[in-house]
Amino acid sequence: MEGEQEMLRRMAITLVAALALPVAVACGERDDSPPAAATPAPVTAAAAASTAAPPTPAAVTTSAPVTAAATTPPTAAATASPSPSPTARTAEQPAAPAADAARPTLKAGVIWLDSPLDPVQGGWVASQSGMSENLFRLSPTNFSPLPWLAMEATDVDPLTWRIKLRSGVKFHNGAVMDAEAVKASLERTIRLSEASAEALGLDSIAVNDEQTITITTMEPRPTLPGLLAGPAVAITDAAAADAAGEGNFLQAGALTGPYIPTEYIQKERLSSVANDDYWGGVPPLAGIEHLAIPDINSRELALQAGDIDVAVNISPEGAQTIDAHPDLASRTAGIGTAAVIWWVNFERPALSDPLVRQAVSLAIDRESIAGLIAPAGSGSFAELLLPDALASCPGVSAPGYEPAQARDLLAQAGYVDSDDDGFVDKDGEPLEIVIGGYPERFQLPIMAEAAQAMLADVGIKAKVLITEWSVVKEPAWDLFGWYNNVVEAGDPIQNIGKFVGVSADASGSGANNYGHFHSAELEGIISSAAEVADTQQRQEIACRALDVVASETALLPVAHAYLIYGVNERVTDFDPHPANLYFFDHRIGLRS
Amino acid sequence: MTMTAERVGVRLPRRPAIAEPRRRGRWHALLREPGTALGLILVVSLLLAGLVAPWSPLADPTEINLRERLRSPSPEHLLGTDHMGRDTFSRLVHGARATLLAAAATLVLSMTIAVTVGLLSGYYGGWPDTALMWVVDLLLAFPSLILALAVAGALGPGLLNVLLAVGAVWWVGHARIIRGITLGEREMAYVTAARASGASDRRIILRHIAPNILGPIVVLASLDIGWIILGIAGLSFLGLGAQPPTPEWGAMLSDARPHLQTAPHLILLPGAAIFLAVLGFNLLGDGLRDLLDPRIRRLAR
Amino acid sequence: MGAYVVRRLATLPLLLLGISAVSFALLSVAPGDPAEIVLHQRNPGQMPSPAAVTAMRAELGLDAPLPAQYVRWMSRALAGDMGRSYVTEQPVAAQLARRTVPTVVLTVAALGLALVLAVPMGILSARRRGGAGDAIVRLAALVGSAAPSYALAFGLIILFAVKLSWLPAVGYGSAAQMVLPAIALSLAPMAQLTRLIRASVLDVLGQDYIRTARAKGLSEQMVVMKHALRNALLPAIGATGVILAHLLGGAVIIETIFTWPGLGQLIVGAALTRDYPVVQGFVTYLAVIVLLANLATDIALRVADPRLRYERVGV
Repeated sequence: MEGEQEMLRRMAITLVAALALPVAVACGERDDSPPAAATPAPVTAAAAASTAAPPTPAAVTTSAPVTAAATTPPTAAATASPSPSPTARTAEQPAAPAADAARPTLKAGVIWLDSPLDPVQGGWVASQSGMSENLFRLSPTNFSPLPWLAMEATDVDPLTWRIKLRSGVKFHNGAVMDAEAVKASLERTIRLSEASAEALGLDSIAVNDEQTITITTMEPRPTLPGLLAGPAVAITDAAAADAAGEGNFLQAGALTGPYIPTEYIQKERLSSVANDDYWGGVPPLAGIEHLAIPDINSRELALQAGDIDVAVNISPEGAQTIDAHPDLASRTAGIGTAAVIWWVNFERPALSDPLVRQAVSLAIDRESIAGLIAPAGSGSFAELLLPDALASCPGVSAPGYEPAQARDLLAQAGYVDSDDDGFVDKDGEPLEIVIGGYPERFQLPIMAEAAQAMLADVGIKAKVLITEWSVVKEPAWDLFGWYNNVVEAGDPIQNIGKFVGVSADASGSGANNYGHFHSAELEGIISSAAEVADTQQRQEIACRALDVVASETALLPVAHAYLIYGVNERVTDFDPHPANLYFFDHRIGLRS
Repeated sequence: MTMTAERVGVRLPRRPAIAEPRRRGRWHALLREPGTALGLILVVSLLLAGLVAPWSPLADPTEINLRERLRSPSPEHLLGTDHMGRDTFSRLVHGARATLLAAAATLVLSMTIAVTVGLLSGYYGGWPDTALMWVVDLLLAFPSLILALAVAGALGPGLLNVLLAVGAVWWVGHARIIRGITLGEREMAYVTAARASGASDRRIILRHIAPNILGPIVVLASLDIGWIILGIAGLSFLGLGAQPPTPEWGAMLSDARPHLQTAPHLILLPGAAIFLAVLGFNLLGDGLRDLLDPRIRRLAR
Repeated sequence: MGAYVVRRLATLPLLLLGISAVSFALLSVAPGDPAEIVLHQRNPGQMPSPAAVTAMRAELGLDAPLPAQYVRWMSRALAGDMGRSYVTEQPVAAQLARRTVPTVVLTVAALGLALVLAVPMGILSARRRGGAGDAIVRLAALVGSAAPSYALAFGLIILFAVKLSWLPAVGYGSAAQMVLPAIALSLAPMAQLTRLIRASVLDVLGQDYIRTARAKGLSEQMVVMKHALRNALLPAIGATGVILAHLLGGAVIIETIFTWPGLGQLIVGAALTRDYPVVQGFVTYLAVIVLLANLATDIALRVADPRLRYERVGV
C-alpha cells in the first residue's frame, strides 16, 4: 500500500514537473528575452574591386608622422544584389542579405563567448570575431600599432596627437564614420569604461575636419596608438549604441568590421553575416557561425567530426592528432603572446632570502615544464618574460636547471637536512613552500605539480594550492602561477611594468605587483621611459628592466602560450595572428 | 522484518536466535550465486588494493618524470605512464584508496544523518516528524548530483568538499526508509511490552529498534555505494572533486582527455576501474538484498 | 480540503525562504571577491585596479551588509529578477529559462529511448526466465548500470563522429546532434528500468489472477499482454520520477561533453567560474519547481483518492 502510494505520487510529480518546466520557460521568456528579431541592418552587396588591399598596411613608427600606405578603400561599385538601401533598419527587420548560394558560411568553435558584444564591456568577442575595428591594430610580427580605421598618427608634441581617419568607412547601420563619430566613440568609451579612461588619460578630443581629430592627453603618452588598439577602445557608433539602450547593442549596428552580428546567445553561439559594404572589400563568406565549445578536447573532436571548420585554441597534443588527419591541419603564428609565470612572494619569509630564491629558480627545470604547456621547440623558455618579437634581449637570460647548484645555495643559506627526512631545514624549521595557481588555465596546475616534484628533489617540501585566482592577493602562497597577455598595446615596457607594479608611462592600466617586489633600480629604469617615443630606445630600456627582474628573481617566467588553430583544408586565406585579438578578417574563405 | 536482524547475524536479546547451521547455510547460498561471488571478489580485491597501496612496492603515484611521459606499457611501468610521466598502474591502485575512502566517508556521513533523523522522526512522530519529512520530501525530489554540484561550487573544488556535498544530500532517501521501519517496530508487541515495563525511550530505541535497522542499512549501503562512487568520480571528472596530484579515477579520466586519441588506454583504464568497482558493489548489494527480507527490496526502491 | 491546501500554501514561502537564505549564505562565504571576478572576466589577462574594484563592489551592491544584500536579492527575485550573471552580464532568469528547453528535450529523449528498449527487454527477460535471452539482458543491465556515462560518451564520439563521420560530435539544434548524447544518457536509466520491469513482470506472473487467466485457457501471449503488462508497468512508471532525477544529474556531465546548451552545462560552468548569481538562481529555480510539483501532486492525489483526505500523504 505504502509503496503504491509512493509510486503514484512519483508519477504525478513527474507529470506536474514536466508541465511546470515549459510554463516556467514561457514566463521567463516573456519577462526577460530581448526584443525578438535580431537581424542586422541590410547591406548592399558592393561587389567592388574584390582585390582590395588588406586592412593592415605599413607600420606605425612613432615620433614621425605615421602614414598608412594608401590603402584604397573600395568605392561602392556596381551593386550586385538588389538589397535595400544600407541606411536605417526598417521596422520589418528584413532578413539577411539575399544569401547567394555560392558563398558558404564558416563554422568556428571558440572557447569563450562570454563577454558582451559592446566593446566598452571588454570588447574581446567583437574584436576576435571580425566585427569591431579600432583606429590601430597590433602588427602580427612585432606588435607595433598599424593604422586601421586611422590612416596616420602624428605626435605634434608630447601631449598632443593628430590622427587622420580612413574615409569611406561606414558603420553596420549605414552611418558614416567620420571625425565626429570617432570623437563620440572615444568619449563613450571613457564614459563607460573606467579602465580605458585610466589607460588613455585623455584630456580632450577636438575635431579638425571631417577626417582628422586631435587628441590631447593629460600626461605624455608616447604609446597612444598602441593603447588605442585595445579591444575596449573599438570604434562604435556611439549615438546608435546609446539609443539602442543597454543589452541591445547588437541591434544598433554600431560596429564597422567585415562581419555583422545577427544573433548572439552568450556562452552558446554568435552568428554573423558578411558586411558587403566593408571598406576593405567584400568578404568571400556569407557569414561566420561561432559556437562556444569551452572544452578544449570537445573542440578538437568537433573539428575532426566536421562540425566546425576552424577550432580556435587547441592544445599542442591535439595539434598532433589534427596534423595526422588528412583533411585537417594545425596553424599557429609561431609567437607566444601570453606569458605563463610564477609570481614570487617577497612578503613571506620562505623566499625573502635571495639565496633560497635562486635555489628555487635553479631547482625547477622550466624547459621541461615549457615542453608540457607549449608546443615542442617553441624556444619560448629562452625569451624570458616577453616574446622576442616585442623585445629581444640577447644579454639577459633566465637561470638554467642546476639542481646541484641549488642544493649548494640552500646549504649556504643555512638549510640542511638535519633530521634525515629528505627535506632541508634550518633551526628545526623545515623549508616548506606553497605553489599556487588557478584551474581555468590548464597550464597552471600542471606547472605546480611538476615544480612540486622538482623541488622535492633538492629537498624543498612544496604544497600545491589550486584555487580561486584572486587568492593571489592573500599572503597564502610562495609561488603563484599566472597567465597573462604580454603584448598589450604592443609596448614592451608597459608589459614589464604591469608585473612589477610600475606604470610604463604613467598610463599603466591596472598595474599590479602581487609578489610585492620592490626595487628602486627597476622603478628608475621604467620611469625613464615615460617620455621616450622611439621604439628601439624603449626596447633597450625594456632589456635593462628585464635584467633586473632576472638577477633579482623577481618572478619566474616559464613559457609563452601559443594560440594554435585547427583548420579544415577547405578554409582559404586564413592568416593566424599571434595575438588573441583577431581570429578572423575579411579575407578568410571556404572552398566547397 | 522482525527477522531481519537475525538474518544478517546480529544477535538480539530476549528473542530466540535462529539455529547456527541455518545461518551458515544462507551465507553459503549467497556465495553459490555466481554474480554475488564475483561481486564479493571484486569488492574484496578493491578493498585489499586500497588497504595495502601505501605499503606496496609500487612506484610513487605522484612521482613525476617529465622525460618518461605517455609511455606504453613496459616491465618497468606495467600500464605505461600518464601525461606527467607517473606510473599508471600505481595511480590506479592508489586511486582505489582515494575512491573507497571518499565513498566510505560519504556513506558514513549520510548514514549517520539518515539513522538519526529516521529513528527520531519515526519514534517520536508529531510536528518534528512532519517538519523533517517535509525537508526529506523536498530534497528527495532534487537531483542529488546537481545539488552536490551547487554545494561544491560554493565551497570550491576539492575531494573533501565533494564528499561533504554528496553526503549532505544523500541521506534523505534512507531517512525515509529508516523512519518507515521504526514506525513499524514501534507498534510491535515487544516494544509495547518494554515500554509497559518502564524502559526509557532511549533504551527502547537503542536496544530494541536500532538493531532491527542494521540489516536494511547494510543492504542500502551496499546498493548505494556504486552510485556514490559514480557520483564522486563524476564530480572529479568535472574538475570539482579530487585535485592534483591526488590519484583519483574520475580526475585521472579527466586528465587523460587531451590524449583520448593518442593514448586511449589512459581513459579506458580508470573508466574500467570505476566500472568494476561499481559492478562489484552492485552485485554484492543485489546478493545481500536477496538474502534479506524482500520487504527491503520494496522499501529500497 | 481547503484548509489543507491553505496550510500547504502557507508553508511554501517559508521553505523557499529557507532554501534561498541557506544558498545565499553559503555563496556569500565562498572564497574570491565577486567584483574582481567580474572585472577579470571583462578584461582577461589584465589586473583590475583597486579603484575599479571598489566601483564594481558598489555597482554589485556588495558594499552593503549581508542581510541587506539578501533582502535586496530576495525582493528582486520575487519580481522575477534574479540578478545578472557575473560572466555574461545577462539576466539569470532569462538564462535559466533558455537553458531549460534543451535539458528537457535531452532528458525526455533519453527517457523515451530507455523506456522503448527497457520494456521489451524486461518482458522478454522475465518470460524467458533462466534462458539465454534472460542471461544476456541481465548482463546488459548490470553492465549498463555500472558503466560511467562519460567514458561511454567518449567511445561514441570517437566511433560515430570521428571515425565513421555519421553523426556530429557536439552541438544542439538538429535531430542528428541529439542521437549521441541521448544514447549516452539513456544507458543508466535503461539498465535500471529493465531490471525493474523484469522484477515486476515476474512478480505479476506469479499472482493468482494470472493463474486464473491461464486456467481459463487464454494464450500466454494474451495473458502477458492483457493482464500482466498493465500491472507490471505501474512500478516502472512510478519509478520514473526518481529516474528523472538521476537523468537530470547525468545530464550535467553529458551536456558538458557534448556542448549541449542546457541547465547542466550552465551550472557546471557557473560552479567552476564561481558565477554565484547563476548558481543561486538555479538552486532557487529548481526548488520552486520541486515545491510546486510536490504540492500539486499531493492535492491531485487527495482529490483522486478519498481515503487520503484524512491522513498524511506519502508516508
